[in-house]
Amino acid sequence: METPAVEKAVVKKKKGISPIWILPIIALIIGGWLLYKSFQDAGVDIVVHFPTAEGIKVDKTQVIYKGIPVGTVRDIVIHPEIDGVAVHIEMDRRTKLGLVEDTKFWIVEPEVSAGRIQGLGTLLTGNYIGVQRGVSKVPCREFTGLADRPPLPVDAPGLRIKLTSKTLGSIQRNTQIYYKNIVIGSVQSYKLDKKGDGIIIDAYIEPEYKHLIKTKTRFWNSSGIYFKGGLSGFKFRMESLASLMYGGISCYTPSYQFTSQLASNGHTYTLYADFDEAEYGLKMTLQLSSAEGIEAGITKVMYRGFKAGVVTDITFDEDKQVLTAHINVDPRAEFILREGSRFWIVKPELSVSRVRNLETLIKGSYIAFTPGNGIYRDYFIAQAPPATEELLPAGKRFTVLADNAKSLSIGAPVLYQKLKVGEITNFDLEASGSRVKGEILIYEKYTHLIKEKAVFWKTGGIRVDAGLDGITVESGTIDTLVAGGISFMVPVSAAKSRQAKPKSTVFTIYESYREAAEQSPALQASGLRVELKAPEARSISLNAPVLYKQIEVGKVVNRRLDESGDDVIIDVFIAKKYAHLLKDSSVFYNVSGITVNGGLSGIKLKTDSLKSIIAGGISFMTPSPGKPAAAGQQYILYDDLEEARNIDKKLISITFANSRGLKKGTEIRYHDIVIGRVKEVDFNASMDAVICQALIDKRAVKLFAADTLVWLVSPEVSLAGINNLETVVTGPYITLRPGKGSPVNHITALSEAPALEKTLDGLNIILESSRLGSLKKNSPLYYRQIQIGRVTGARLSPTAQKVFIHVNIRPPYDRLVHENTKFWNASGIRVRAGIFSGVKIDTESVTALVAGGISMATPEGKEMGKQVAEGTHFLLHEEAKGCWLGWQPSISLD
Amino acid sequence: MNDTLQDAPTARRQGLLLCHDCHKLVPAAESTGTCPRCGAALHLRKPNSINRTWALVVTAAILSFPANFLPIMRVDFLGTPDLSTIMDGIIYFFKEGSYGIGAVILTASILVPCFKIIGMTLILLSIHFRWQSWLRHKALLFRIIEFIGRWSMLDIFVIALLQVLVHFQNLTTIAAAPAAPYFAGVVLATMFAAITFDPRLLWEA
Repeated sequence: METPAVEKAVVKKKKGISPIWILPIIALIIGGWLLYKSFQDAGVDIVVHFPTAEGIKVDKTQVIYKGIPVGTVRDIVIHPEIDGVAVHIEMDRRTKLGLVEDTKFWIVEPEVSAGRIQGLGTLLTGNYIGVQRGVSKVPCREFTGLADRPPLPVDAPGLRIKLTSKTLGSIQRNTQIYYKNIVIGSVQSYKLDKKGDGIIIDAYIEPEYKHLIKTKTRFWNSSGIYFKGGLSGFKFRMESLASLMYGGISCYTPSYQFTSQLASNGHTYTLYADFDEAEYGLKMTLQLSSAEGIEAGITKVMYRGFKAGVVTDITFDEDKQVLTAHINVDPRAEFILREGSRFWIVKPELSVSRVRNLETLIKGSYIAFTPGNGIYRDYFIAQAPPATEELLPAGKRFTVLADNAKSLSIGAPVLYQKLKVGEITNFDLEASGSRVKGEILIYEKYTHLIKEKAVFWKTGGIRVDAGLDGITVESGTIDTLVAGGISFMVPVSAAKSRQAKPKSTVFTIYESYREAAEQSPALQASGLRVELKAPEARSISLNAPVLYKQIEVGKVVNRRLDESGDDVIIDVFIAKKYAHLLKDSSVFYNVSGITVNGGLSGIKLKTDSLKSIIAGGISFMTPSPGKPAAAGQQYILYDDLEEARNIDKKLISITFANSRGLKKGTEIRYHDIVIGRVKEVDFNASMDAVICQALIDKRAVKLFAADTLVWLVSPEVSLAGINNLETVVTGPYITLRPGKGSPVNHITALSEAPALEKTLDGLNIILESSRLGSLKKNSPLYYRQIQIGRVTGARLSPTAQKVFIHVNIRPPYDRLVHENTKFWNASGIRVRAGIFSGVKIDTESVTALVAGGISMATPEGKEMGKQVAEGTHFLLHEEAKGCWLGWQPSISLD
Repeated sequence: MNDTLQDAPTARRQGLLLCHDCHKLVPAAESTGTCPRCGAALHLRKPNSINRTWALVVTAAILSFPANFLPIMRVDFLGTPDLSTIMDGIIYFFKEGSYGIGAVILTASILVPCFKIIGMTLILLSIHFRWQSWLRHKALLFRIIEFIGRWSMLDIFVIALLQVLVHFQNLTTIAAAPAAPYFAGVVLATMFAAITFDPRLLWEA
């Protein structure tokens, strides 16, 4: 082979290694680094012993410290003794320093309770293990897990206090501490004290609320509901709902202690059982001879109604054989703790002759005292009540008579405007034995109230009136509820009567105020009583309201038959305030129930007050002014508003040959205003026509005269148009054209609308034509194709040679008609066709095309002649002459 | 057989060069160093082939350790991270009863890279020590390695797709974990190894 002419290749041996070997070196470096890093990052393996591994999963469950995962469970091993599990955890290397002897581990599970929701995140992610680092320095790798979150570490920034309590109650770990219902801390732990007779609760107050806790702050157990009821009302106190379920501790600092020092860590407080106990801080003891009626926690120490303390406990000392009441005293009542203070027990006293300390019957006994002014002392001996059997106060005595002794007792109060102005001092049977005679004492101060005409009634017990309009509960004071009593009042009318004479004046005591009011006219409310006469009582019941414009102005007080027994007489009472509304022309009607008016125009539902629906009701109205009503005046009670309204209407009978939709309620209209309604439709005697009885408004009665024309308006559909369309929906109505002559009660209606319509305004003229053509009533009259009038009717001329077409031209167009005005028939189409002129079509308007029509033209200048008078006759031409169309007269329309 | 293969006429012996890019045969005598058709550099054999292939195979072998032992995918379900290695995923699928998917992933992610590394090592060793037997089988082995190389990326594609698709904020997110780049490195290294290797060297060893 020939050697190609190429340069000889110089073969060099490459030195070193190929740069591609950098790749495996880099891979090696990465691998090495990864190895190093994994070795570096390898966690610390620890073992935590838990009683249960519930919710813990290998490789899933994390150890979380302040929300950050710091370890993962690697293995779970059951103890060989099967008394728990050892959880092997790989902790983050960085936590190594924190893994000391007293580091705590616990399992965090979701907790949903009334008190709080905790660890909600674990619901989805599963349980996790919480960790709290210890303070020790000794490293440790094996721990015992806790059942629950440990108390906060000692170095937490908040305030740590101790509470001592007799019992734990519903307080638990994490029970919250409230200040004005705001959570300020929680219970961390609790333990029995050394002796085992009390509990020490460790509480933690959040740092931001630290300043609220003073050395004098009081803590009480606010778990549950606090309910205190008494005659003076009841108290209901509950902290948050959470505290109800979970227990709670509330605290407050009395305002007078606000300046006390801030609490320091470890300060010990007493945890009071409840708010009341917390409120009464000072302690005293009272030696009692008998603890009857005294109850721990309930019995109060009262001073002139001021609650100074409460009995917290009663102890019996066997050695000394004495009963001791332990009392917590309100610090503000500190002044009672003095040498010389006297304490005694107030108990209810009920005897035939007297009722004393009645309130204690319900409130229980209490301890009263008079403060002394000696040196401080906190133990006392209860003494006998001071002799306070005061004499009856001065006053005047009156004699009273009652049917029975109910509600009467000695000492029972005599009330005036609910104020005690005296008391019953004595009562006994009358000599005859038929009534009870008593004696009352009216205190001196009030004796002037007793007039000769004073009315007395018993006020004992409770009276309940229940009705549709609510329930009325009436009772006197609490005293009278139990002990009875009597009230009195002086009617206004008797206010100026003479003073009653003591002893000699005898008053009758009625059973109740109602009876007193019924028996004593002076007490009755002033107003107007009238009688209503009705054929039957219907649904009117006693006390049914009497309404005026829907406002209750009175009520039905009585219902009775009249002498003949045919009618019912209803006695109605109108309050004085409204009596002026009632005139002798007033009309009463029954409004009981519901009225429904239905029609095409909608449904109208009308009711009066609910009460009137059920109890019945009466309303009245005064259609025309009249004289004020007199008491006892008799009215007629109409069945309903409609009937009441119709009383001033006149009944007119109209005879129709053809009734065509005529029915009860058909309206009678005049110029589209309803002036009456058909009340009844019936045949006439010969049964060949219909007579309808129409109620006509009084003001419209004069329209019905001898030559009044009456006819029925029904829908009319024809080629010319649709008339009275509304009657398709509303039904036909009756209308009329008033006539002259004397008023009549009976009219015969026309079978159809009169051919000739009478128009009130405008110009009426008559056009004469040989035939009517397509003209009809309402056919238009055009002037320059503007409608200026219409045909109002047509009739044959008296000699029947022509047709008279009545045309009405409405103002101001009546001025267009002059003597020489030409009229021609514009009905239909005129088509003129010629070879040269083409086709010409003339028509006035589409209406005229269909319904027929008339056109007119007036010549110019003097040719037009004078204006015409009403009723002028013109000739109606068949068609217009050419020149007529050219006329352009100038006629002022203004 | 070996003799026939050894003695078979080759392009080299005929004084011909094959352009690696456009496959044009160029007489070595006329060669100016570049392909007269496409202008690519002309070599009798892929330059430095054995050396480069060795380097890449070694790289792949080193990288396959972190690729298999580090977690490749991270699934955050409701805030709890769950890291899984390739093998974890395969075991998961087998446990769940999805043998098909498990087998595919096992093949694509574990067997194929291993097969490629071991296969390439075998071929390279055979050249190095001039093992003349089974040359045809070795050639077939190389073609298989070349062909299946691209399929090993399956795992990376799955993770990349899931990372984009499963992204429900706090509910579930899937992210690639540290092993992913190493795994990609293994696949790339083996693929390049197959490219840089010149199978003709098998006969010339």
